[in-house]
Amino acid sequence: MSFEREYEYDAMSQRPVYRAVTLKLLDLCSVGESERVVDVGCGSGLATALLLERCPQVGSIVGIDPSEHELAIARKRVVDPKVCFVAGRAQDIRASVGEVDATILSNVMHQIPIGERADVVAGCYHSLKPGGRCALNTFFHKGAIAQGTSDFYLRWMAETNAALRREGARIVPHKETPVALQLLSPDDHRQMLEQAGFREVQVMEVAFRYDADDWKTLSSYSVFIQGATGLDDLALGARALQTGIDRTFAALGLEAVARNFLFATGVK
Amino acid sequence: MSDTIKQDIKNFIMSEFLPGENPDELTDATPLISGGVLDSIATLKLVMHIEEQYGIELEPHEVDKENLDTIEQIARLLQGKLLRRT
Repeated sequence: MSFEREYEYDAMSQRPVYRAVTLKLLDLCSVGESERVVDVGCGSGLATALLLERCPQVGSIVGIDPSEHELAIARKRVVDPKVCFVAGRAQDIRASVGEVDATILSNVMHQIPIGERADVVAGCYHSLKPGGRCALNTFFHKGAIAQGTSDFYLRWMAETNAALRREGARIVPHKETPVALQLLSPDDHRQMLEQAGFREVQVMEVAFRYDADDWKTLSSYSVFIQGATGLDDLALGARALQTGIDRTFAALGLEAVARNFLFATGVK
Repeated sequence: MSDTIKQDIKNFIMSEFLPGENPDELTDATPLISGGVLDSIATLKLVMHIEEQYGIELEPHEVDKENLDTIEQIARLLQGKLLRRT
């Protein structure tokens, strides 16, 4: 995974649809007054900023992310004495923070290799006080492609490849499955939380409608570009994916495409 | 010709997307896209294999479930394009 300047997730995190997704996650976590929260894999700080808006009486928030570049954006976005951002991996949460009331993993799980996801959830469990809550969501899981939308993805990839072909390039097939496409089912998520020790585990899928600008913004994110096209030339990949969106929306007469986000919560 | 194409496609799908699975369970009528065997990226990988192997080009509008959901459909599409080329 790489985080490239001008190709970070921050642009996508400012889209209204992504704000709605993140607010849904925060509502499921129901953070209370004076509570201490960890935003695991905080990226550019959207969930932290929204949590402060949603729950101004929160005790403190620690944002953890491996990318200093994303953290720099987060530190500019959220300036509040209750908030601090620290460098670290989700896998190391146990060593990075003390006991907390809530752990939030906003769109993080699919960025962790599949074999390490259970350790991250277990780390969250051990970081929580008894009664503490963990809430996570992900854009990639078995079931993310909403019913009746597979034609959109097929056409988008074909149009993207055609756009690359016009520039003398093509999609480069991955030799190994990209981390984000190492998919877990809703039941896998339930089992992962239960095996970590969580009780009252709830798993749900919620559809959000992405319009053409949402998809085009997502297409300027480095990890997404590399996952979808296999290209290291991010400018070329982004351009082709965005052209692909324009042509696909026009050809299929689309206004928006639903995508199922998975949400999972548990209590220690 | 048709049988050769079908066998080639089947071999590619087995090796790329269903390693270790029983090849007898992949028939000419097995739903590939609607059955979840191929997602969009896997389908495109198959398309690229077909284009390289047979020296043809599939237009974006041809990359859909109507043309690519079964080995039977893929072979039919391919044969049509090969015939038109000659």
